[in-house]
Order: sequence, then C-alpha cells, then structure tokens
Amino acid sequence: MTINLFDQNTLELLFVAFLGIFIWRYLGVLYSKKIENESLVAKTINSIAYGMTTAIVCKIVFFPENALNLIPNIDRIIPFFIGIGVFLFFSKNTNLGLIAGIGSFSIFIIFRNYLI
Amino acid sequence: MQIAFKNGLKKGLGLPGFAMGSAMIGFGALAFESGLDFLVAVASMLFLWSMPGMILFVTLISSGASLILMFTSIFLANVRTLFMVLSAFLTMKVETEKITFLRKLFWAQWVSPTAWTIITTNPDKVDKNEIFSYFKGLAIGLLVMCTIGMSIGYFIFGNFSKQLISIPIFFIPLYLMILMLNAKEKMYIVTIISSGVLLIIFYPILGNWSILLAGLTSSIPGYLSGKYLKHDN
Repeated sequence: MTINLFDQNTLELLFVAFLGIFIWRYLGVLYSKKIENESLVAKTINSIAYGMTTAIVCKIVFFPENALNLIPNIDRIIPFFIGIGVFLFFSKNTNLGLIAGIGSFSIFIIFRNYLI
Repeated sequence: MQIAFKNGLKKGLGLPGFAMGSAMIGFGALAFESGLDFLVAVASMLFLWSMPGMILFVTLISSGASLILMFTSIFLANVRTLFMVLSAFLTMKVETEKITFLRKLFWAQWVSPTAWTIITTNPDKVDKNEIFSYFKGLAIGLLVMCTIGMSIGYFIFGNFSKQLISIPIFFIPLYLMILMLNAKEKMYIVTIISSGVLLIIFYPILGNWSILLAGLTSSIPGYLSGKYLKHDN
C-alpha cells in the first residue's frame, strides 16, 4: 500500500509532526531575543547544543538504526577514531581526517563483503 | 552580504551538502521501503527538517500511528532543536537583523545540526556581521543537496546494497565530529568528550532519552572546566 500525500490522514499526521518540531523552533526564536550574545547563559546554551549534537553523532556511530546497523561495531568504531585521530594529528586538517575515516570504513566494508 | 550568501551557498553545495545528502540517501531508501509516495517523502523533509523527526515520521505513519502518538513522539524527540535554534540565532546575532518575526521563523526552520556546526565553528572565518547571510546561502545549498540525495535513495535504492549505502551515511557523523573538534574554547571540547562518554553509558539503559540527558549533563563539566581554566590563566 502506498501512502499518498493528499489523503486526509497523511496530511493530518504530517501537520502534527510538523507542529511537534516547530514548537521548539518557535520557542528558540522567541527566547533568542531575551538572551545576551556573549553572556554566560548563551555560552551554556551553546555548550548544551554541542553536547546534544555530540550525543547524536555517537548514537549514530555506536548504536545505529539505519543501514549502518548492518556493519559490525568494530568496523564502524575503528574508522571513526582513525578519522578523528588523523584530523588531530595533522594539525586539524579536516579533509585528511575525512579521507582517512571514510577510506578505512570503505576498506572494512569492501574487505568483509566482497573479498572474504 | 551578497558575497557571504554566495560563499554560504558554495559551502552548502560542497562537502557539508555531500555529507547531508548522503544521509538523505538512507532516508529516501527508508521512505521507499515503507511505502511512502515520493511527495510524502519530500513534504516530510521540508516540513520536519530533522533526521530523527523524519525517521520517526516514516516509521510511525507506515505503522498506522495515531495523531497523539505522532505528535508526542516527535515533540519529545526534538527538544534539542530548541537549544540548536537558540544557539544558532545567538551566534548569528539574528536579533540585530531588521526582519519580521515570521521571516526569523522561516529561517529557523532550516537550522540543522550540520548548519549549526558550520556557523558555530565558522571554518570559513566569515565576518560575524555577515554570518546570517552566509547561513541563508548555506541552508539553500544544503536543501538542494538533500533533495538530490533523497531522490537518489528513493529511486535508485534497488540498485545498491545496504552495505554500500552505509558508506555515505557514515560520512555525516564523522564530518560533524571533526567540525565540532575545531571549537576554540576548551569548555566545548570538554563538553564534547563528556557527552560522548555519557551517551555510551546511558544509551543501553535509557535509549533515545540518553541523547537529551547526555546533552544536558555534559554541559556541566564543560562549564566547570571553562571556569577552572580561566582561573588558571
């Protein structure tokens, strides 16, 4: 069965889903007026945002739910740290870190799925 | 302003766009697998613009969820959006821009972890007064790349093995982590390390709630280290 956009049920579900996220965006815009840019509150909010984005990143790598779930833990985690390690070791070169991380991840996949 | 916008657009169509677009390949494939019409997939991307929200939406709509369940799940899973929009708007000093509240809301819709990370770490060293224009270009570029990525995932899904699809999907967490580690202030680096450790400890017990808990609690050691390191200087 295909779920079509113009079914009333689909539109209603899409609307409430939109509302579920939009409320947070609305509050974010509303409260950004009331906070000083360089204040301690602003730094704490930045810190929480860093913390939450890191948590999402670690969740994707350590406890994935999508296609990454099919890849053994070690094949995801080692390339992730290789990428970070290369980035930190070579004076924070983003491209080199990405090439090392993605490259080693691809090698693991190709080796395990196509060479063994 | 025009130059900042163009630079943002270039950035969005470049590496970050490739990273986000790659993650959208996975979403497009999931939408196809779940029996969603292509227009529903596009609409959910445009109206939700949050990967956890979009995945929840597809999973719940295909399992015949009620309106209340849909609202509550997505509402609770996206608390982080508040902090991200707040942080992004403070960084971009949107308050000083002479635009209507509705326009601010419109641009708040396009704040994503990738866009937030780029404007916060500012790798292109954009002038602070022009970073909002840069963000607008960046958001449009990311939107274009995500639409392309999602279409590839939706229509060409059958031709790829899931193992191969995981390669572009892996790009986004690594890219975001590397960008965040560019943060200049030590308190943010401490927050990043604490959050990673806390997530790994809490996730097996609390599931997705651990994202909220790790995000909130990791800011405490971050704040304390900021204060301690300041005293040291």
